[in-house]
Amino acid sequence: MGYFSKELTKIIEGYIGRFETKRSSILPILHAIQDEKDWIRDEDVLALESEFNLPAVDVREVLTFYTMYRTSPVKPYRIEICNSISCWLRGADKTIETLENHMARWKQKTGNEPPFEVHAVACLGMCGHAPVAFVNKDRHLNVTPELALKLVEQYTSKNLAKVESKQETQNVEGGH
Amino acid sequence: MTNTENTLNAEKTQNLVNLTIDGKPVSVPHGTSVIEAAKKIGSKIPHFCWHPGLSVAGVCRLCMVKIEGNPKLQIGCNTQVTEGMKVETKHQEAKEAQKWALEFHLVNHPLDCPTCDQAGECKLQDYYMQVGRYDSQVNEEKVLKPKALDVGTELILDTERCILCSRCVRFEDQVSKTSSLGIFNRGDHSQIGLIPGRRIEHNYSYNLVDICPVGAFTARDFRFKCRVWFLEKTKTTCPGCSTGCSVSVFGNKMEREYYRLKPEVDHEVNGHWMCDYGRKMYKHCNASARQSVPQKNGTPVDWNRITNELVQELTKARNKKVALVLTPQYTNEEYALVLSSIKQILGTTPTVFIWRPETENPTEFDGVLFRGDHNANTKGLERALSQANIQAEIIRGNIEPLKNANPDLTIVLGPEIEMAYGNIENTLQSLSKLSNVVYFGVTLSDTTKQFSLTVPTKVFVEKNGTYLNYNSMPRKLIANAPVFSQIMGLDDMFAAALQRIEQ
Amino acid sequence: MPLMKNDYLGRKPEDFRIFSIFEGKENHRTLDAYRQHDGYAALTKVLKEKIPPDDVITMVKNSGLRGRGGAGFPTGMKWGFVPKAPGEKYVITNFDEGEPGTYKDRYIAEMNSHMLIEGMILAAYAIGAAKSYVYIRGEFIEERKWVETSIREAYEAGFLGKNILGSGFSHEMDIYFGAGAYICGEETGLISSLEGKKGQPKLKPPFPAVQGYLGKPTIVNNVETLAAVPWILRNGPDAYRKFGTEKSAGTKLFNLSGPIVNPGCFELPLGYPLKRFIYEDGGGLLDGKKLKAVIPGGASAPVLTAAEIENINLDYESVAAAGSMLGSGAVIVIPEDISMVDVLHNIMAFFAHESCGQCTPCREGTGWLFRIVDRFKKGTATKADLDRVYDIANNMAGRTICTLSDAAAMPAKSFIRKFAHEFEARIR
Repeated sequence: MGYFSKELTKIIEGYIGRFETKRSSILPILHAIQDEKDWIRDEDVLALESEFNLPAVDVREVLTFYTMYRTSPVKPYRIEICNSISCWLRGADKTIETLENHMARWKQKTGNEPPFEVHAVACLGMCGHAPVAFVNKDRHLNVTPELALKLVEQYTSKNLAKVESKQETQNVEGGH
Repeated sequence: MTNTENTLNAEKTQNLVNLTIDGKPVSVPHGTSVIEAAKKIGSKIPHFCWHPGLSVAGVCRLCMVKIEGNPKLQIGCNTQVTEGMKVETKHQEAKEAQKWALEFHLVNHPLDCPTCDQAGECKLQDYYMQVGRYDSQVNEEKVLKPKALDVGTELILDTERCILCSRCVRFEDQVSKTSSLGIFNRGDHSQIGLIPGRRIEHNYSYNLVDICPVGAFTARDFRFKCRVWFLEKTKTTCPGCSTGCSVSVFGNKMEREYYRLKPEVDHEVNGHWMCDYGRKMYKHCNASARQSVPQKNGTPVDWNRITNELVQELTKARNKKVALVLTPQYTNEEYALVLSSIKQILGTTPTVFIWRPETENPTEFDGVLFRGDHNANTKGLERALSQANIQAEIIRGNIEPLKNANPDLTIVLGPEIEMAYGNIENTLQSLSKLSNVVYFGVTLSDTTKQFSLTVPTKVFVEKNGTYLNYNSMPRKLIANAPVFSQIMGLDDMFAAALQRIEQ
Repeated sequence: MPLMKNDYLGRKPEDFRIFSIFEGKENHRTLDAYRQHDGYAALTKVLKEKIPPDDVITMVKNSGLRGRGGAGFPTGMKWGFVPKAPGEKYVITNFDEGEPGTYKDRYIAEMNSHMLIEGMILAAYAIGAAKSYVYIRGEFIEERKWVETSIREAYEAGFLGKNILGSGFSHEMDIYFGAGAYICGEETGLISSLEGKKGQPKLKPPFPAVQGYLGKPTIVNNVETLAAVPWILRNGPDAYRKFGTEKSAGTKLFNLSGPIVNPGCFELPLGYPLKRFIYEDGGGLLDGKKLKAVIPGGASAPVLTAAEIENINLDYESVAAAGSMLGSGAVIVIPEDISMVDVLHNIMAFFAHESCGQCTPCREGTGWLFRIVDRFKKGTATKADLDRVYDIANNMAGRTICTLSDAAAMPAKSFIRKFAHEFEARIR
């Protein structure tokens, strides 16, 4: 019995054989692990070495270099709001502030950690629809403070069940 | 070997490229970098990340030079010479760029020189004195990173001092092939490190300390022991194995105390490196590890009487059975002198035995430098015996053959580096049961007190002479003043003994 | 997608469409839709008529097509650098669109990624590459699916794979996705990333055309660059040159962002007046605010004051003559009520976050600049800090392996120079 699930093992093996060199498989493999396990643990890195011969140093360098990989536990809803120049010029900082305040209030009111987390991130490449945000893998456009609060409500009211990333992403067509 | 070194060797015979550096003409083989070409005419271009024994990284951006016709400054390490190239290493623009490159290196460097062991041989300090800005512009909070990490038996790592030159990472990838280091995170949070919980435990780890241009890697063995400016070095040969690496032994002359060994560049033998085993070769040289005076039947004998004692023992044994036990750790010159003078004094050739470690794999090689024959001069001893037409029997641990020869006098040149022999106590015990033993060695013990005569010997760093390495290449030893001022070497003793006999 | 509003140079807005022909069409992302617009006609012609690869390169050279990723290097010339000798070679599409303000490459994927795929196959044919990759940034989840679907369709239709259209030319294509690093938009950083490493740029020389991916000859081109190639081969280099200016030929996708009435991705002929773009097509600033400054080519381009944009046209030469750069074509407008200190603070935070950490002047310089600008924002900076920003920026630019240090230095210098009074007002 291997360290990773059967499905994940199959995906990993697929990536290992897919590119010219084995090393190229590191990035997509880390994405796959994160997709299944939400975040990447030291043990995952070690298992890639022991079971698939991917040197742990190589994997860890990649893991810590790229910002999409998460190395600590995540809450059910991870909200990433672009705060680079175009989004910032259209009030991304206000959206972020609104959500941070909302989190604080949530904690105060319920005594519990809110089931979401907020991160300001670098350019997400949809600058004409600023501010742009991701909730887990769903992209949302023109995320004003009002829309942000509505999104939090929509997601968290789903019985705190983690929203499947397979869910239809918002249709951006016509949004131009 | 690096690519550049390969090129240098491969193209020695081919056409040279002619260029000028700081106005001086220089001719170097095609493929040479500007930084190497400059070295040839004594023009030192400051650099951190470039190392002649490693691949080019080009990241410290310190070795900026001006090349005529090129609007942008170029780095000397990744720029290959071309015919007619005009390089200026001290051009105003280049100097300014070097100054600023240093300034950038200091933005997050802790500047803890007073407590840093690298102080005094730190490239960051040296270059700052040479080309730095004396009115530093840095007035910032530093990015804090982990300090004094225990990363190996021999190593301490301070990630805050690290300037991210990546030399150590390349060493691990290219030389020791252990690839245990990485640079994690990015931007000014980039940090040198290992996989959590892992350590650097290989036989070349001290090289990381050597190549680290700052005090990020320090040697556990040397930390806080001595300021480097009190040390003087003696260039010689490492006695740790049959490779015979060129090394320097660093000692404090005032205290007559040795602190460390470092490799000396030697393209024919060890390149830029040496192993951790070899690094220990200073320990047996210090007074605390050695016996200082000879003993006769367990009683100290004055050094000025030792020649008499030796002559007495030898003359007593004339026309009797004499055994000579040799270990492969002495110089060619010592073997020649000992063999010839004993023969001359006795009038006959003694029965010679070679005493080797009880267990060893002398043909083993780790693929880098370290060889399974932990004796510096196996080849030299073989040659000395064959030149003297002597067939010698090898003894290991068990001295039966020697016992069976039933010698009236046994002269033993014991090992200088006893750890190569594992535990020599058993063998010494067996030897002590022989009738009359004259023993030469470094550490003399209760057992050796039972010998008729026990004589302390000089160690490699106190000798002039040669070893023949595994490849029969002569390796030179250069003598430093001995730790014990009165000590006599084998050369002095046997030469004096001969003289005495001839009188 | 906002389109050009009015006639330009006596021609209708529709006459300037290369990428935006799919705009407003049903099911426009499919292979069928692409074929209805002569999709794969160029590839079919090249392969059936056995047009020599060098002729393809010559046509691209003659079209005047320049790299649309930001540097504007002539595309045909780049292809010409690849050694002719047979052997493993690669074509890589740079779809790591990450320059703040830029979202044009994804527009092509959204319209129809077959434009890109056909362009890649033609590029591969021209340099003799048997394998190509689309390197797409990890955040483009939806865009990746579009490209993947198109690649699959192209395989099914026989435009990819062995012996394409019976020509004897074979080509495989795959997609690779990043994981969050601006530096992977730099071509050698991208190659490092595709090799499964940190996205750190490689020393040049050697250049990728000679030693790129896995040490093999490689061309890395921007999405928009490659997507223009089928049109050029179909209609001829001269037709392409009918758009744009003499030195900046063709159309280009421009992105308008910031507080503007009508933000979006526009296809415009190069040489289009910047002011007209902002006010006519973009509809001017939101809430009728006055324009203070424009960043014409993505976050790394030097800023221009409102006065400076008066006579600037959107082509490489005109913007360069004004002291900035066309870059990726990301036009970011800054209104009168926004502090330039705060804008620079935002941009410096971005570059400090995105420096790969390899070269010392960039690793330390980007963080240093940010810390100083942060002091301006907090009101704790000194007069000396103003000069220091300038000195640091000057000594980072041009001193590193790639141009990220320049990208950070250029805005820093231009902001301080052109809006000194705003910075001085924040001095302690």
